[in-house]
Amino acid sequence: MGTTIKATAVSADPALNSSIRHASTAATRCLERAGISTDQVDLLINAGVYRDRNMAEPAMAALIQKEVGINLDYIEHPTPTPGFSFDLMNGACGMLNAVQVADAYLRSGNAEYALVVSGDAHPGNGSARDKDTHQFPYAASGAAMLLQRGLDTEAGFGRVRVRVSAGARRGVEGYLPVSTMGTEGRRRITVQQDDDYVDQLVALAAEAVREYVQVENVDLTGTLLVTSRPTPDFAIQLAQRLGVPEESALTATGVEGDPHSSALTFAYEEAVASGQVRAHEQLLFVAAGAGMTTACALYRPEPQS
Amino acid sequence: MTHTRFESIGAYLPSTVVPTRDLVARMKHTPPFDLETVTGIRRRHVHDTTSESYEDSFTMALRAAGECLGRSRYAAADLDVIISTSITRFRGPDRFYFEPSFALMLADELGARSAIHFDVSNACAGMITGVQILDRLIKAGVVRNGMVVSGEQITAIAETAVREITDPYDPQFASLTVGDSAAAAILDESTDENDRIHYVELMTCAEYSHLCIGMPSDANQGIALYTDNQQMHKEDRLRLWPSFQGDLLAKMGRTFADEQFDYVIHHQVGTRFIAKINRFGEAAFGSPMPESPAVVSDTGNTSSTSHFVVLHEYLKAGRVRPGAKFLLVPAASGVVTGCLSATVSSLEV
Repeated sequence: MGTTIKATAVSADPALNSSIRHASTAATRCLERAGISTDQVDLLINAGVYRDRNMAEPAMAALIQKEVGINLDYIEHPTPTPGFSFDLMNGACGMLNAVQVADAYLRSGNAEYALVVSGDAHPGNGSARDKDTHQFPYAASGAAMLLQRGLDTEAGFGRVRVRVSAGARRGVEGYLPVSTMGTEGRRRITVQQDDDYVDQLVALAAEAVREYVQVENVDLTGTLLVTSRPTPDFAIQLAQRLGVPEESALTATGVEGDPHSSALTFAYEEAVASGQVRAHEQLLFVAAGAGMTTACALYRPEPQS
Repeated sequence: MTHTRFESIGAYLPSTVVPTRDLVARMKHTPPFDLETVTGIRRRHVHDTTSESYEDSFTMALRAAGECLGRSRYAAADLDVIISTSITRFRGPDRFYFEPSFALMLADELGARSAIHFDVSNACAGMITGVQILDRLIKAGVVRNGMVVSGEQITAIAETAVREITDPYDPQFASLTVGDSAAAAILDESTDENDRIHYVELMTCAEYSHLCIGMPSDANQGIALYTDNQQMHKEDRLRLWPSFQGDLLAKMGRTFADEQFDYVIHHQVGTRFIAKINRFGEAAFGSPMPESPAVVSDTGNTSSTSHFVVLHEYLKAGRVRPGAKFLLVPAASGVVTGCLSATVSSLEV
């Protein structure tokens, strides 16, 4: 335990339609809420997967960092701890991998504040209604979560555990079709999901939760499951599969479609807003996706003062 | 305090070699200058495109990972984390992947199914970024060891540049300098200060993040890289590294000369770039630069793998002595710079 959530923010304004703008809007809002200046952010990790215009370089994190205004030019404006950023991609699980990595930087004394952002959007950015736009399963959205070294030793994130299904099934494949894209490569993306992808994810997530609570010695009673959102009823299905009350699991509802890499932050914000975080002793973040992969992490909020 | 070290290294260069003059000969609009003289790049390795032995970012990454594991004390199943840092995630002739992660697919192929896995994308600073992440994960006790791996079928951008460059100021000129490759490194805990990563510190100066953009072309079917070379290699950009490292050393109460580096490996942009950035280093630190191992003349700019390809090739040729102290300096779109200081004793190639 140790790394705690200082603030979060999300962005789902349909007018934005850009992963960079969604992520940077959420990031700016998050820093405002936290009362933290851009100079105080030591590390920015972007967990977004689908990029504006299918950009492969630079890191989308750098473009987001510029929008937010963190460490723009070290020569002109040197700071004691100049910011660093990169993209970390692992589908819907990337968010928890980013927490895992940020936690390592915070705990090894290499950062005071780490900003985990995410953003996904169809690469066409709404500029054209491409033939594959309607098949794109993810909502244009973004989120930000500011992490800090916790003061209370009992509070914060526990270990992040990853589980991959046996066998080489991928469940989902998202790619740029380079041999058929023609001159439309900036506006094309193919995302193929197996017909039973979500059923398989529910089963895998349930196994992952059972393993997590056993290995990490967690009592599911009094634990709120905060899940990603491959389908609107994913949290309910997971609760049913685990045999826990449906109200002890929730996922993002405030956005049209699957917010993918931002889903956990959306769900967490809703849990805070609805008072469910306060009503529970602890949360268990459950991410599923990224090709038959799940990631789980326990979170104990800091005691309310 | 825990420290980390390079436990093993692997690299792969495809056997097909394309001389710079052959690449230039294919251009519709021949540049008015000699590309080989300007860049110092004579040739580059290029992935095999025949159907029976097709090479892509993925297969090349697997080769480097396999070689790295072959010299490691660890088997694939022992790895706690796999971090893939390719800019180009080509698998097969038809797909450039976004999900699942390359790291998951590599873990599958290597037999490291219980490893934590994720992709990192940070342009040409990708592998050094991966090394920093792994260093922090080991220091925090999250993992005991792990692999950073990258396969780059980056000559896709050169193919587009050959077709599309029309004038000497074309933003795709830098794309002609790249070469394909892969590299991998395994890190674990250091118990000997003569075999240790002393520090790896990085920063992104985001004001210049738009100066070098890689994305699909809208003129032809292909991936392109558009670089504002003039702005990217402006003096103030080149001063970022010595300013950053100088301030870092000052905080430690040290100077560049105190560090007693045996070698400094720069990003392999070109021979003139390496000479120029060394001059900036000398001026800023007031200290002569150590020898700069380089392979750029024979490999071109291999993007995210460049420092590790240099290290691998020099170790293989016996051109660096065991126990030497290296400084690795990235220079990447973002703009990313920084410094990695390591004494390398265990690596054998």
